[in-house]
Amino acid sequence: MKRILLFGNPNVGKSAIFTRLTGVKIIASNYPGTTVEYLVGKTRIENKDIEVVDVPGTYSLRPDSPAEKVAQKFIDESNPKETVIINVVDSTNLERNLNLTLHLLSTKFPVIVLLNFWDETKHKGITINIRKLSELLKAPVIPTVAITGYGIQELREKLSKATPSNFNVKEKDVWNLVGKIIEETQIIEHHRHTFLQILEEISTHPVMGITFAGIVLFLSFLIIRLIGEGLIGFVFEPIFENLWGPVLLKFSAFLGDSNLLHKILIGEFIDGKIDFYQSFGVLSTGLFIPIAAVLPYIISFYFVLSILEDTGYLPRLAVLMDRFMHQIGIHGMGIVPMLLAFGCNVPGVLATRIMETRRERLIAATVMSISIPCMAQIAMIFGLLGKYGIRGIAPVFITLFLVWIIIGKTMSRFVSGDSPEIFTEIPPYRIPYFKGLLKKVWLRVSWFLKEALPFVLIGVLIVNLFYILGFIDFISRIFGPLLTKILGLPAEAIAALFIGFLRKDVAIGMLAPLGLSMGQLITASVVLTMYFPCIATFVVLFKELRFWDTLKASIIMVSSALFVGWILNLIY
Amino acid sequence: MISLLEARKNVPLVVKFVAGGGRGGKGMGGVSGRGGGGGRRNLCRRFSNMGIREGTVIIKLSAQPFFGPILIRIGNCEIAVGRGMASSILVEEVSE
Repeated sequence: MKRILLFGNPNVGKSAIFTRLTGVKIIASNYPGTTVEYLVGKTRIENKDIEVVDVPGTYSLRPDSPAEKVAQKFIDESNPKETVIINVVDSTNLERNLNLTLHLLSTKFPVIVLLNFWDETKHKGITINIRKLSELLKAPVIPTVAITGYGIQELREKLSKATPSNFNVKEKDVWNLVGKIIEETQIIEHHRHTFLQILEEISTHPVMGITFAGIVLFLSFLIIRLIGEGLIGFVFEPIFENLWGPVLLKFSAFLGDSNLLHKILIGEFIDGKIDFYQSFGVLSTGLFIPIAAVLPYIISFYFVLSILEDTGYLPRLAVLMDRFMHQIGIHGMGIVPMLLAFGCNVPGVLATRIMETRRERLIAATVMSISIPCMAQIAMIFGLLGKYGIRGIAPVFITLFLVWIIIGKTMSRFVSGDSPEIFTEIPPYRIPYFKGLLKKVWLRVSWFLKEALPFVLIGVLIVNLFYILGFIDFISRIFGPLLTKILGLPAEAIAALFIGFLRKDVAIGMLAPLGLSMGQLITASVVLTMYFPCIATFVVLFKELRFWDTLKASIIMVSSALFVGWILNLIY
Repeated sequence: MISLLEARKNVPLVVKFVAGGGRGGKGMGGVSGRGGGGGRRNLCRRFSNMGIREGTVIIKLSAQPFFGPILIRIGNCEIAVGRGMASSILVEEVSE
């Protein structure tokens, strides 16, 4: 055996089994379609390295969707003598899952069936006769609970002994056979409604559902702010002010305060001391922005988002938002990438793959990268405009929301192609597995640290070098007048627009020392959000949309940013 | 036989007919500006994969207002279906 293929319907816990087998950390969520790209990892069984592939979730082996085409490809390309298929089955949904199982059994591959979510069958009143099922399928059947690791040892033991089952069933008989198997192996007792099931009913109820969604989103926002502000106020700012500040001052004295190195590393003194927002040295503002201003919000955002994901609330929100999302030509599941984009636009753009058609993906990705500010930006906008309270913050987000709708509506009129209707499974509510949840948050946060921290430091370095070399003066003189006329911003703000290609949080940070008025800050924040995605987002946008669509998206971005900026300039 | 759109909620319904390919139900909900068809070409099979086929007993749980999606339950599984798609599923109430 050289290869293991993990097959199963969407949202049956394949990714969690994959993590158990390989130790490779990937993100498992309680909504269908988390894994659209396949993942490959390695495991050791009987001292041999074996490749494990997490195939995207499929309902059948017929290539009806992009995910199913990928699945089919693996069946075609693998050698049946060296490959074992693990079919992960949701044991609370045996009947629907068996369709794929029978198809897999009819291939030449050895198949092992895992009855995952085994712990949930008990409180759902489901009894499955495992021995009987194994006899009927002529394949090993193992009950598992992926998140706790129950059954994984047994799986490892049986993997090397798996043999093809010589099962053969004609396409038209599959569902009949499924019916027969279910009759012989499964008993479902009626059971009382659990608290979670009552919540399930409320959250998709036409009237109560909207109220419930309002409460959930409001609480989410509140908790994100509470944790974010708490971490900044009680942990990160004190660390910078009381521990890092004095160290930097000593270092500054050592460097002597008027040479170039001092300007690059520590920056300008504001009122005779280091101001972490305004000094703009690599070691002062450069470290402060990603760690003390942005990281706390990244942590709190992903903590809350992961709870919404793992409980299974997002598909329900998708159902409620379906009509609204059709305003911009995409169906309800489009809310998932949109929410992800608030953390960072990169995973947001990647998640547009859960949409079926090119039209939907183009609209979703464009609208998102124009009008959804990532957490790093939001944190900085709050940092700059927070002192004006709701008067300063609200105009930014209301404008961006209007832009989201208007551009989305316009695009849905003019972009050709299909907008399919929503057709998705709604998984049951699950209590999040806390350790798994924390791991996921950590994974996403460490991704931010790895990807963003170097970019911010480089960004601040470049800003300083450009200032020193006179480059910023040069471009402000060329583009400055244009900017001043249209947007009403001082010529120096052009530097921020320039750096915004690299990192938007740094760019917004650059506005701090300019002494802008509230109106100018609002205009600059909106324009900076809209005019172009940061380099990381641009790269994934290019990968997902290809050249022409990226070009279209870029033209829309630049022109709409200038237009909206001009309008805001007229207002303020 | 009535379409799933008109069926009563919270009673067992047996699926009688699933309109397959083509553009079943286009315009029923006025959903989406353009297109149609493409996403539904394999409608019958997509339904079948999710367990919706002739003879299945399903329960309509709710219908979102303003032509929003319909929620149905099959066994232990809940599925959200757009109105156009739902209109191509014909059902009958299970007689006691």
